Amino acid sequence: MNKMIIETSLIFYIFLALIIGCITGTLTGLCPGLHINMVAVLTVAISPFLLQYFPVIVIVSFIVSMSITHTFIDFIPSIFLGSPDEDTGLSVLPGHSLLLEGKGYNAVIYTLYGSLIGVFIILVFIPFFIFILPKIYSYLKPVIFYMLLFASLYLIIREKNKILSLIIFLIAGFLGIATFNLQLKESLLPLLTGLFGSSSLITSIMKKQKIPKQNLSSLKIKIKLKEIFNTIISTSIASPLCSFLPALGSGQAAVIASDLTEEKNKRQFLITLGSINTIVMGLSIISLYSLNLTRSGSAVAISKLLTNFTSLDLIIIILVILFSGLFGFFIGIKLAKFFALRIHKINYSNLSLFILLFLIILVISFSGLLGLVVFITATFLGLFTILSGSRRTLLMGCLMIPALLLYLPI
Amino acid sequence: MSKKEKNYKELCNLYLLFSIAGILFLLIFSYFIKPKQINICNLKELEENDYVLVYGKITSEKNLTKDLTILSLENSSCKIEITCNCYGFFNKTVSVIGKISYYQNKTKINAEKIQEVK
Repeated sequence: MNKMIIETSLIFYIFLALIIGCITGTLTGLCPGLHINMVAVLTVAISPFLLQYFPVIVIVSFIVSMSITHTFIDFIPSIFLGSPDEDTGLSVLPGHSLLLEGKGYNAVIYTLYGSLIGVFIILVFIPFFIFILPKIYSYLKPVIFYMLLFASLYLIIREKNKILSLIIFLIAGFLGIATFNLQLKESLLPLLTGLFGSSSLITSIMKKQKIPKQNLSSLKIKIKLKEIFNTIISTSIASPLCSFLPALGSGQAAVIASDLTEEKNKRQFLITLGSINTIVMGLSIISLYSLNLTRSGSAVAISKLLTNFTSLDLIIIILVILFSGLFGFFIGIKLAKFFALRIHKINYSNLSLFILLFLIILVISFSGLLGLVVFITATFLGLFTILSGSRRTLLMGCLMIPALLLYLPI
Repeated sequence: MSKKEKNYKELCNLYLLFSIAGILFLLIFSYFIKPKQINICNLKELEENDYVLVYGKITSEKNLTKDLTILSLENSSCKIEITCNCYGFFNKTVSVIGKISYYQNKTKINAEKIQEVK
């Protein structure tokens, strides 16, 4: 009886943590500067206090639900405000162009459908990650360099202007090397917000862009079964790349995945990006169980809390992923509608300017003045890439080249 | 080429120039930058992910895996755990540059650079 009371209270605590995690994930997703890694680190910092009252799995459930919900919601500021984080950077371009066509709501919904598909793909991948991957991982490790090299070359070769693409990729790589050598705190913040966020915002300000009234008449968005099928196939091939390879983020996997499908349109790209964003987060937590690999900030935080990752913990985490995915999907629809109904009333140039100032304050407070220099340099490179008509995927050279050097087989 | 196109191209080149200048500045600056030197007895005052430079003697060395070694660094009767992908530092006096991290209520340093001090 006593045991039953304990179990009932544990379920209640986990459920409570899940709800708080979903709400926190919604907030972190909506505020471009408020990153889940930051909240996860804070949670680990106060865990000695929390552990006096709650079992460790309750705190882990909070981190998991926050992380999964975040992957659903973080496309909203990326598409409506042009203010992305590292996972949604590539959604700015197709998302923003749909916003200018009055289809910003649709753009968010595509990513939400993608994320929901992603949750189910995670469930399919789990047996592979638990039973097969640990056996083959040791064979894959020595070839990481070559896989990264192949991915890098692929990103360059698929461009029309290959020389310009190579130059952008290499310059971004040098910027990455310089940034990581500076020993900055939160070095990714100025680097990625500069390359992907502020450069888009400045372009919007310079063009004096006005956001048209968003079309909400077709609230029932039609997504072809073929597109769902294509997403499932392409993400199933591309997502494991992100789980094994360092420096390969959801963006690159989405590019590879969208190239694997026949239809290459904005809608398909956004569905794929949404899907991969969630899959990478979910599988990074599963990789912690199966390979003891920490491929995301949330996985690092969980690894510090769960020193003994049991099968029961895994089952609870899978259920938390499922529930948070459903929560993220429905709250995401509501929020997308809320933004879509109001975005045209706002002076977009002023809003962009406000967000730009907010990002600058954020960069200075987290990474200092040197971080600001990185931010400005990255912004110029981002602007050059936009103006030269190149794809911004190439800017991921800032992570890929340092990773290539790290895994250089010498 | 129209005036507008010319301005557009000039702006594009200017952005490229500024980004290259910024990178050169950062690369040169990163060559001279050094993290603050800390006595290992005072490490608890620092935050996670802070870069530090510490000195001390390696009193134990355990190779956990091919890529992971745990070292024990002692200085001024204080001790700290260092994790690194390194070996052969036992009983040597070293300088360590790395990031502070907290693991199971213990402070440790994830070493990025270890050098023997002679």
